[in-house]
Amino acid sequence: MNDFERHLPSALAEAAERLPGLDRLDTETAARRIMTAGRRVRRRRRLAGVTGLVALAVALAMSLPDGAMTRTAPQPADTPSSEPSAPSGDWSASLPEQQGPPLVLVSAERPYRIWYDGRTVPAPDGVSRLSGTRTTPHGAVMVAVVDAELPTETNALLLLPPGKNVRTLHAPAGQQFLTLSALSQDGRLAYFTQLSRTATSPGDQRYGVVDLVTGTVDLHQAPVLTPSDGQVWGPAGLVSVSIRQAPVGVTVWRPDGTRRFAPITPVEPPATDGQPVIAEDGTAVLVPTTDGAEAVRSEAGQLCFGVLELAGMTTSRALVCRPSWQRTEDLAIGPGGRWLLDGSTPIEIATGRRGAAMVPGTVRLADRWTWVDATHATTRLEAGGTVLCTFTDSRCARVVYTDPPPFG
Amino acid sequence: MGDPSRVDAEFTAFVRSAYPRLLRTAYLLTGEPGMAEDLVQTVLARLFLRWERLAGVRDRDALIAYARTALARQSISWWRRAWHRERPTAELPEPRDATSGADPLTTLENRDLLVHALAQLPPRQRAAVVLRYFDDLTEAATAAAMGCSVGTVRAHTSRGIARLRDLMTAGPTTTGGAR
Repeated sequence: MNDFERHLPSALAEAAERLPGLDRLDTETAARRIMTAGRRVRRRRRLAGVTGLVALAVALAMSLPDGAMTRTAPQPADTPSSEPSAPSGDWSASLPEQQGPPLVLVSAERPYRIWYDGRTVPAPDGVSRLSGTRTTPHGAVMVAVVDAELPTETNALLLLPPGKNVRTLHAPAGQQFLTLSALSQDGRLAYFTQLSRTATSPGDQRYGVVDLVTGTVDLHQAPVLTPSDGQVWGPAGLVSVSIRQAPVGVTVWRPDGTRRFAPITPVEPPATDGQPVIAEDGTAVLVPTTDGAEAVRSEAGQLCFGVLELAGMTTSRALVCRPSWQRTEDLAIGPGGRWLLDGSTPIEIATGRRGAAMVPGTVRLADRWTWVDATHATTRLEAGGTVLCTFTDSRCARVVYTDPPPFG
Repeated sequence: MGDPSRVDAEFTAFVRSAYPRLLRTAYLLTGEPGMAEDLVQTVLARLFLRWERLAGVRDRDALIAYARTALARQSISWWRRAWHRERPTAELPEPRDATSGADPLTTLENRDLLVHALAQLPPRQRAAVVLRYFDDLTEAATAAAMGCSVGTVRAHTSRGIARLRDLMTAGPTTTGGAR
């Protein structure tokens, strides 16, 4: 066995750990989804086995009123009274963005119905399943599976406005996959990708932006399918960062159909589930850089990072350096890309072009930094309490601990 | 027909314990998170259909082995579908410098490209490498999972490792990745 084979098991294990979202797996929801899918296949098989009058009888039975054919599921006893209860029967659930009760349900029996916002409405023609849902101030946006039992199976983009009927925003014909990628910060624009099942060339890939208020859909021809490890909506459009798969870099997809790509040097993501560090407002991305690294690096072999400002696609000099094994999750970029906050122990704040300043004391963070506004960032400490930094000039000028700090 | 609530509870418990591990294997087999989830869901949905017939099998490892076999075979089968064959990308990344004889896996950058390189192996070679080196199966167990002979597993593994090493040394290419 050579060195390569000896290292392969550990390298594969590490690579598998980088599967995005592994730390947020919701196996309960997965099990429910799988059982629903399994039951649907079972029903389909049973239906395929009957002929003539039996098939007619089944078809008639399936058109009976609600509940006539559905298996009644027990209601959870601890459903909070403030939350609308899920309807009884056999329903397929959408996948909520975070763990929690399903946001939208589609009945697993004909006639298909959609449950959301505490009420049940008829599903648009052909809709029988869900494949993804996002919540917005204008209602839930969802990708639905249309004509699931025909060879022309495709997807549609639906809007479920509170108190109103389901609205079909985009329904491409001919075996198209839709994926909801991101929402603008005001929740008005939704970015989606559209890929033909029979796609064989980059030209088959499209992306679109839908305005949830006007219902306008702009579908753009995109020459590539860009892999993404993290996405956020910024002032210029959708910021998509790929750190694991080529092309490694940052792509800004503008609502007008144009895009910009800035390559970044691939490095070993220190965290097992390493995600790119992107400013919450989509204005900047953490990128590795060697420019000015010698001035910041405290030990040989450290990786150095700067900030790529997306407005001008310019990269700062190195602002922070750290051993290659250290996670980048505790780094946070402030609004407008003006601050790079190094949350390693002891907390250190590197700013703009001026170097770093230390927060006094040795503390460990229990959470990622959250920016309150352009000059305030807060996080929780492992030993209890929170810390609030007020940034002025080049340092965290004022530190407030909400509880007595765990050090002298 | 078993008691539906008991079946649901047992199956949910199995999914809870097996899903993360199967998902990791699926990720290495497909090279793409979304496809990995689809693959695991497809395999577990089929397992659910046979759950009552498997009622006598309460050895969790045996059930996971069963699921892993389905996973490997399904991933090979999916590969035959045309729409899985291409991963169009925008840029042509520069080839990496060959690391003068050093083990490519010990190079941090190259280790990061392992999933990408794995996705470029033919599906049977990829399955053999993943089952042998990630799931730590014996040659015989790998052969059983892939539905082929031990000799075929040896050949796939050997060729897969050699190709993987070449890819890791040469750097990424932009075509032929799994979807």
